[in-house]
Amino acid sequence: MGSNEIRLRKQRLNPRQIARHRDYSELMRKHRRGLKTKQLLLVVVYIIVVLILILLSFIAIRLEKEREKKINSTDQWSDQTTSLLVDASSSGVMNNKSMASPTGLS
Amino acid sequence: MQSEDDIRKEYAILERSGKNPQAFGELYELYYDRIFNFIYRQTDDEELTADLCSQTFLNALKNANKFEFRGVPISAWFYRIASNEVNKHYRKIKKEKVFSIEEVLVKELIEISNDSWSDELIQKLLDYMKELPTDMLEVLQLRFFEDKDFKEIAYILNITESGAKMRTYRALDKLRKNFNMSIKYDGK
Repeated sequence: MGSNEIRLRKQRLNPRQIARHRDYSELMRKHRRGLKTKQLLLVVVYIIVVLILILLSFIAIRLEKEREKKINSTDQWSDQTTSLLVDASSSGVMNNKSMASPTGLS
Repeated sequence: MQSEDDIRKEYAILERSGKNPQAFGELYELYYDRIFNFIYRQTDDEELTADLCSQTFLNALKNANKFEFRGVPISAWFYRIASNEVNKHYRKIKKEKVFSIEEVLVKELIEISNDSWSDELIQKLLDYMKELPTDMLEVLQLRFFEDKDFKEIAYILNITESGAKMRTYRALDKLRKNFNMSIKYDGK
């Protein structure tokens, strides 16, 4: 089933009626405006992309710094732990030695 | 019918328009009236037609670089853009499509003598057309009121050539059966 309205016209459109709307300079003006808008949009998109890239690199640098900091602190902690362990083990050896001789004299 | 040479010439103008928009003026002047009439037959509103027509040529100019030569005249491309603009308009306003047809064209299509025309017959014909689906009316409009061949109709409506032929035959068959009248039809 159709859903259209059919109208019958007695007259054809007059060429002068159509000529009233024909305006090539107006079309050119709209075209130039459209091009400018397109260029502006491109510049905005370009700026947004650059900003996003800057933000991403900033985040990456920050994450890298934090990672380095973490590694450094882990290294320091492990150094301390190692030295503590070394200390502990060396004192343990001493104790063992003292335990070995009841007089406490080696 | 345009010759292959004429089509190539117009295609060259369109190609030039991609770099120099002023060159497009020639095509604009040549086809403005036809496209205006085509849109007007689907709107019956002069101001709206002027807007849609302007948008049609603006889109054509914007996409001048993208046009691919497929053996159809440049005008078919303009008709295709215009048809899309009209459909876009109706989708936006969500109203039934208007087909405004000149009485003289209907009389040319149906071959009966002037004396046989009556208000009753015209009303019956309008009622019949109202019942036709939009796609059939579009094909009929292009075939009989715009004088397009099936290859162009297929390109304009983005359907196959056989599809365009089938829609036309069906619509005309119905018309012949319902009204028992002869239709001007060259069968091409």
